[in-house]
Amino acid sequence: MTSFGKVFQVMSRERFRTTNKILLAELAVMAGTLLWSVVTRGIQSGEFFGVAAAWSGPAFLAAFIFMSVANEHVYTRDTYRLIPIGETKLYLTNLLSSFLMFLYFGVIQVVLYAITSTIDAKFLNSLFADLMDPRYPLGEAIKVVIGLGLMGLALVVLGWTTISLVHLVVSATNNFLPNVSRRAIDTVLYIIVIYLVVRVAAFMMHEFNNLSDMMSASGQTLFGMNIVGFLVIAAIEAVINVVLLKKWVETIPN
Amino acid sequence: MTNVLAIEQLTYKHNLKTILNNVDLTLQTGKIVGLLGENGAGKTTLMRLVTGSAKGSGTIAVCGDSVAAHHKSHVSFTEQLRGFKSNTRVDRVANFYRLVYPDFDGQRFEELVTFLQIDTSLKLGALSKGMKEKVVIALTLARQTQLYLLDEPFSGIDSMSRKKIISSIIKWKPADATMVISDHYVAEIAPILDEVVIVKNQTIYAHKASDAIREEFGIGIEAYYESLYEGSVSHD
Amino acid sequence: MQFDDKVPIYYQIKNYLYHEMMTGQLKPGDKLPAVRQLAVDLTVNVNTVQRALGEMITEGILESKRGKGNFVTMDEPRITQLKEHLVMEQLERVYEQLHALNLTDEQIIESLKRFIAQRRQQND
Repeated sequence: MTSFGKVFQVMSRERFRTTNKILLAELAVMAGTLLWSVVTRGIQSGEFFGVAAAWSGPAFLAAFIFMSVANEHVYTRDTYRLIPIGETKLYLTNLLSSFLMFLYFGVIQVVLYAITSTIDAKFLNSLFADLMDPRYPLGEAIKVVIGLGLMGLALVVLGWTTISLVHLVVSATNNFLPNVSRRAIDTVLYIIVIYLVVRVAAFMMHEFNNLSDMMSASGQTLFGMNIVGFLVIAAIEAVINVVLLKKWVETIPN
Repeated sequence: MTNVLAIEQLTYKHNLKTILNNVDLTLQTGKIVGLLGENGAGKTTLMRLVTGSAKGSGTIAVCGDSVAAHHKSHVSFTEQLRGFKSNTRVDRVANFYRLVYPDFDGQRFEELVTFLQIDTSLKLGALSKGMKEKVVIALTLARQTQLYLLDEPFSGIDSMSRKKIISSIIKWKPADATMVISDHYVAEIAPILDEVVIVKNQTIYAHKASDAIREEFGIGIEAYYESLYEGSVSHD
Repeated sequence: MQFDDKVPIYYQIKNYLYHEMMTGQLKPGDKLPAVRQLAVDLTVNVNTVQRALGEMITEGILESKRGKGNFVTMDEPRITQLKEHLVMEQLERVYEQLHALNLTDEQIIESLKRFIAQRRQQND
């Protein structure tokens, strides 16, 4: 049997390269935008941070999408499915590899924010001074940022397990359907499965919120419960995904 | 002799169509077996069922182990490298194999690369069909396993490459390993086959030793195979 | 080497090796290439080579020395006997076919003499 570490290594190598490409593209676009400003009207104060923040969003989205594609690739290619490792390990390694690469991407974004905000420190300080109540403690602000970060990561994981669930359910179902009008059937199937998954997830989140209400939790606990809720749903989906991989999901033939 | 592969009551349906029905097949260790049949007869499917890439019903035991997940470490299959991007270099693919297959023998791979005259600095997308197949063969044979499954390694390949691949099979097949080679064109590999397995009508239609066919019927493997498909040799 | 797909391969391998011995490519006491090497040279299966060699060892044409490999026998009478056997085998085929053309034994001998004479002239 192949060790977890080695599978992780081969899975992450390609993703690391992809992540770096996205980062490079992001930097190039940022540089382009700033250059445009220089040429047209000169750089305004706060613009470095503004540009970094503005392009960070689409870059995050791109990273998420590229990692999703890499994830799903693994499940239907012999190159990965023939590796002597159990389905559970394969699945978790795959997810972890994408997660860590995404985290790496996030850290670089934070570094970018830090660098650009240092350049624009004067402008940002005055901005924050205007915006914020001086009585608002810094500790609270950090808590909010960390909370939002965790929530984002939980949502990313949930997003991946959900995408996999939809993909694997459709892939497994395909084996049992007639070979006519494939595309039409696939489209309908995707819509139905997506609808069902979203409905179930929404229902579960609702239940979680009810639970928090019953415990008459404060805002912070409610927020924490939500994160836990996302992760629980992700875990359930992951279990279903592994079972699907074990029993039904075939690879694309040679 | 022990059995490297034992298939019982294997049935496989796909898209409501039966591809294989009630297949029983036992292969001993140390053989080279020709898996013959028309295109679409189910040769590839049979191999995919053994590796676990396709899911059927029935039991498949590799080296006495019938747990599908365990088959992977006993079976080396000519996987067509679909998991790699076309700009991946051959040596990177080899590194991938070296990492994920504990039985991958780097030394053997180097020997195969030299013998088959492979340029490992090329990208996958730049390989000709024959060269790609040579790479796949080198990767497959560089693993030291009990069962090798070569899925149509000669289709669309020039005769020089074909000869090289055949020689590398003879040279590098471990003595106690069994190798299954599927093909729909028999002539060139006939001399190296110990046995032939013929897939027809969704099942194993015949399974015989090559020299037994020559002795019993006085005809070649190719003639025998063709006659089975035309139905002119009555089969017991 | 080209094989006739209609004839068992192990049988053709034996004939090939006999031929090597008769023409002196393989002399008494010579060591044969390793089994796998022979298989590669002839493009045949290792098992088939083993079967052919096994039969030749039983026939006493080859001697297997443990750990050292297979050797052509030093037993000269055995090799002479083999040669005689191979010659007879070929002659039998010719004889049968000529007989089938309704030639008497005398006619066959006459024809053979004439044939040899003709061949000599051609070669001169």
